[in-house]
Amino acid sequence: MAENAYYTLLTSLPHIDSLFNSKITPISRIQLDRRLSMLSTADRDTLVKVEQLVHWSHLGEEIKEDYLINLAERLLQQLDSPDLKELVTWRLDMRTIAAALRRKAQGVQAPTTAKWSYGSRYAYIRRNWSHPNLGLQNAFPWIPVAVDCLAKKDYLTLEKTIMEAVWNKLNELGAHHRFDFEAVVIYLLRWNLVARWTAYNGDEAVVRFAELTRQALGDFAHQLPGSVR
Amino acid sequence: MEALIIALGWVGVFAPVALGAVGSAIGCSVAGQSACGAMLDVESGYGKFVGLSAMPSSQVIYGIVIMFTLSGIGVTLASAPGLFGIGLLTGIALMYSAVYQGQAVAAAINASKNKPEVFGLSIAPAAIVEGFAVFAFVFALVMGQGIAA
Repeated sequence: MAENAYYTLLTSLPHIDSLFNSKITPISRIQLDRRLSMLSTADRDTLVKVEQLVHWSHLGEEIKEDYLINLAERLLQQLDSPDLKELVTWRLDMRTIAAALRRKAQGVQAPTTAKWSYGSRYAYIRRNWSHPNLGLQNAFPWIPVAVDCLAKKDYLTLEKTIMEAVWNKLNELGAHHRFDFEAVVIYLLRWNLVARWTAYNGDEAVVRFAELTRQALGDFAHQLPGSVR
Repeated sequence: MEALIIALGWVGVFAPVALGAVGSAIGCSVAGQSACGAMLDVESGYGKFVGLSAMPSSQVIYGIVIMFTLSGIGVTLASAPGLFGIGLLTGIALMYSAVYQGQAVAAAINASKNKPEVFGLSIAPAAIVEGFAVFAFVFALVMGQGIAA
């Protein structure tokens, strides 16, 4: 459809109220994809690439870092919108920072290769590896909270902190885009956040953990203290 | 030179209709597309969305009234410059107000679709834009009388 398909598309999508209060996604993925088919082929291609890069877990667990770095570079060259470039770069920076903080918490040294990640701050992070907050606490105010969570191994709060930072950034950018391609991308990224949050289930996680433990221990499970023969 | 001045006078006479029609077409198209999108997401209340999307059509009606008023004055060497100035500028004002009213209506449809209780309030921005079109319309008629005198 023409570029004005944005009006039809965006008004056809249900409003996403909040992230952490959502119990289900406001629209199913099948319905969302059906609505997104109103976009032109070029817009759909760009949207798929942005989503693949930002939510690369969809690409499978075997995905290599080099592939993602190349994908990021290619995509940023293709994007025309400055706001979209800023959003994608910011999101990649978030991932790079989160990865750096996790590595630091595990005692890993600064990366040896210059191009060790993507975004716009990987070189700066490498230079400031020894700094507790990577020297980025002003640009990313959530970093001290994340460092604290990692030290306390409070991964739920860490996840919530990062998701909230992304949510706020998307809301901030969304205020400047109502009926354009950027608004579609922002909607999709917000939908993905809600889908991720609503997919978390504590009870299922316990069952899954028990299952994995049982598989890993195999015949030795009954030898554990407190195990039932 | 005289022919050019007379031609410009006719441009001024017809500009409110032509530019108003362009603006109304764009405005109604944008608002109408939003109404179509909203109808995919709601189960009822389609009529109010379609009705609202027709709001930017008033500008072309104002343009028609101005055209008849200006053409009634008569295009002469003395009146043509005045007709050109008033007609063209009013046409531009009507065109832009229709385009932006269409966007305001699209936003109103989007807001009231998600929150039906704000339907009345959400129309206010579009109504304010309509007010500016009415200003241009009324004062074009008033100034037109100045040319006639």
